[in-house]
Amino acid sequence: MSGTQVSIHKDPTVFGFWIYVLSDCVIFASLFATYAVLHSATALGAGARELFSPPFALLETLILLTSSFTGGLAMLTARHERMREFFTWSIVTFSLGALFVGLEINEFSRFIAEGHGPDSSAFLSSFFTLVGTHGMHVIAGLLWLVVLAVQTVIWGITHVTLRRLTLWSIFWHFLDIVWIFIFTIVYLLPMV
Amino acid sequence: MNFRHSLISYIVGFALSLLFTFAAYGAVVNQIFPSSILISLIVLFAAGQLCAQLYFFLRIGWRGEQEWNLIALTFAIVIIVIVVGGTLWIMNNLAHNLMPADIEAYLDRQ
Repeated sequence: MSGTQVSIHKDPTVFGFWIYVLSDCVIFASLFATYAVLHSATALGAGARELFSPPFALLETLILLTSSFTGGLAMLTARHERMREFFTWSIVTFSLGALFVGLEINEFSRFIAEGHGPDSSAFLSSFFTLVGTHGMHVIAGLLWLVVLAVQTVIWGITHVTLRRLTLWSIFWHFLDIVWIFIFTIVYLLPMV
Repeated sequence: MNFRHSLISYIVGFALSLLFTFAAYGAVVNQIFPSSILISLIVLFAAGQLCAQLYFFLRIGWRGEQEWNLIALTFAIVIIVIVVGGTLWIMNNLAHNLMPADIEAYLDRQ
């Protein structure tokens, strides 16, 4: 499979992965549409205004946004074979991503403990599904980053490891882009 | 690709994203504008941040070598508009046409 060495920009694997990411966007779009339809179906229970905290959402947003930036720096330093910087930025990115997941799990646990679990109303079902699916993607991205960092330690920056990092960085940026809309539509809009 | 050029791209993208994030947050928390304007405003900020991140982080643009990425993205956007817009239209139509009158009156009072 080694074949010809294509420049990253023209690598068909990269384009193929981009198409996958776009299909993932369609999945999120349908989850957003579902949330939009069901957001007022609170079954006489708590709604968005009562449950969500804008400052908390802002904190999560800033953490994920910064991790997208540092993920980009990890990509950049890898491409230019600045290994120590690459590992530093990878660790920073991972830490921020893990912090984001921790906060989100904390928020979910709190809701469930207070009786606002995904089973209590259509609004909450759609909320947990939309935000939970995003969170699962972030967890997958973190695991992937660990695997790639280990591969880079073992094999260094090769055409293959660099391509995998490129795919990972596309995935990671895409997750922050989806979060922009979660932040806006789920957390900010109800407060208007 | 030049290291410095790429670094600047990431920094500008990050700065713009921060701006859009704080602008949207600030506008909502301080209720700077009436509701309808505020809604359009934060949606616009989200779209703005999307474009900033697409261009500065993901390097999706009009440059020759990335044409196909832009074409694929445009297609995905078309699909998304149809799926989301169509869902909202249909579900709203169903709610309006099939909802029992007493339930609709109760919901309107919410």
